[in-house]
Amino acid sequence: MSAVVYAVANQKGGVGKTTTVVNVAAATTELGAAVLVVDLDPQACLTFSLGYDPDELEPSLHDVVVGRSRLLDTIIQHGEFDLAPANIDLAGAEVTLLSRTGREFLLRGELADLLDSYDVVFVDCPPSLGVLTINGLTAADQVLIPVQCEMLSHRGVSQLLDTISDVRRLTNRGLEIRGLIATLFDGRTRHSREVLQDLLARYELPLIGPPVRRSIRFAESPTVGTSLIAARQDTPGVAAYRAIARELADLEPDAELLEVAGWSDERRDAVLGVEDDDRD
Amino acid sequence: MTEPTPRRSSERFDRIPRPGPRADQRRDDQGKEALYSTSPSSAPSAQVEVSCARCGVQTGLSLAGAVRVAASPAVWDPFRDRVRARCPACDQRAWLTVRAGQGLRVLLRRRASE
Repeated sequence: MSAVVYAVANQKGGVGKTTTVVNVAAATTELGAAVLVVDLDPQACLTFSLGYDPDELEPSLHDVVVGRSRLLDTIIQHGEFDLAPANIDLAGAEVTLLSRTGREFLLRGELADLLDSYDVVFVDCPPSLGVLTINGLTAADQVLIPVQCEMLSHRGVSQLLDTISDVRRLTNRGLEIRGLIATLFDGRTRHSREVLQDLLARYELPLIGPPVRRSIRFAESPTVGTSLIAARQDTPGVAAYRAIARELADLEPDAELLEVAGWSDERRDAVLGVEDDDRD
Repeated sequence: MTEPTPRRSSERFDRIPRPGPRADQRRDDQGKEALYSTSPSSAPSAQVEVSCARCGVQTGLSLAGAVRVAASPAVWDPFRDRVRARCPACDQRAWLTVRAGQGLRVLLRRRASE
C-alpha cells in the first residue's frame, strides 16, 4: 500500500512544526506503522532534534536538490523512524531551483519511488513561503497545520490557506487540509481559547486531537536526540501527540489518553465554548 | 473523533482577511505567483499552454519548449484534440490538451490588425 504523505506546514515560525513531526511520527511508529520524516527546513531543526549534527551528514536533501544524489540515498535509520536529513546548504535550493521548470515537483518525484516502502511520510516544511514549502505541499496528500493559539499565528493560518489554494490551483489539485493541531496551548488564558474557537469557526477546519499543552519537556527534548515518546515521558503533551497519531490513523480515540492530555469532555466543551445544544 | 465546531467567531479577529475572496483577485506575476514555474501568469510570454489530464497542472511553454514536448514520442487524438506525450510538469506520459498561450494570442492579434 502506498504511503500517506502529510506536509506539516505553517508559514509562521515557532509554532511547533518540528516538535509535532518528531512526536507524531514517534507515536505513529508506536502504532506499528513504517514512518519516514523529511526535513525540508534549511535550519535542520528536525535533523538536529533527532541527535544528528546536520553539518556532518552527507548526502542530505541539498544533494538531492542539486542532482548529486537521490532521496533514497540520504535516508538515515534513526532508532524510531527513518529520516531524510537537511542542512543549512538547503538554503541555496531557493536559488538553485528558481530557474528550473517543474521545480515544485522535485520532492514529489523523489518520494514516488519510496511510497511503497512506508505507511506514512511526514514532511517538515520551513517556516516561510518559498520553493521548498511549495515542494512539500505539492508532494503531500494532506496538510497538518500546527498553530499556536495567538493572534499572529491566527493570521499565519489565513496566509497558509491562501497558499494552499494556490497549490491546489497550480500544482496539486488533490491536496486536502486534514486539520489544525493546537500547539503550545495554555488553556488558562482567555486569549488562547478565543483564538482556537475563532480559528475553528472562521475556517471550518477540524481540530486534530487534543490541544498540546505547553511544556518545558518539549524544549528540552532535542538535547537527548529522541522524541519524548521514546524518552518515556508521560506528560499531557505526549498523551496529546499519541491521541493525534491515533486520529490520523483513523483509530478510535483512547479515553485514557484524552484524560491524561487534559481533554475530558467537560474541559473540551469549556475550551471550545460548545453549549449542550451545539452537539449533534 | 470529530470535535464539535464552535459557533463563535469573534469580531476581534476580523482584521485578519479570509483567504477565500482574495484568491479570485488578479495575480501579480512578479509576486508570490513567481514561485510556481508552471503558473501561466508567471510566464506571460508563454506561447503555448499545456494542460495535463494526469497531474491537472497547466504549464506555460515557449514554442521551442512545445516542440521539445512534441519531439518525445507523441500520439495525436484528432477526435478529442489532445496529444499523448510527456507532461512538462509531472514528467509522465499523459493526455495533454494544447492551446495557444498568451504570447501567441497577442502575436496573432497583432498580425490580424496589421
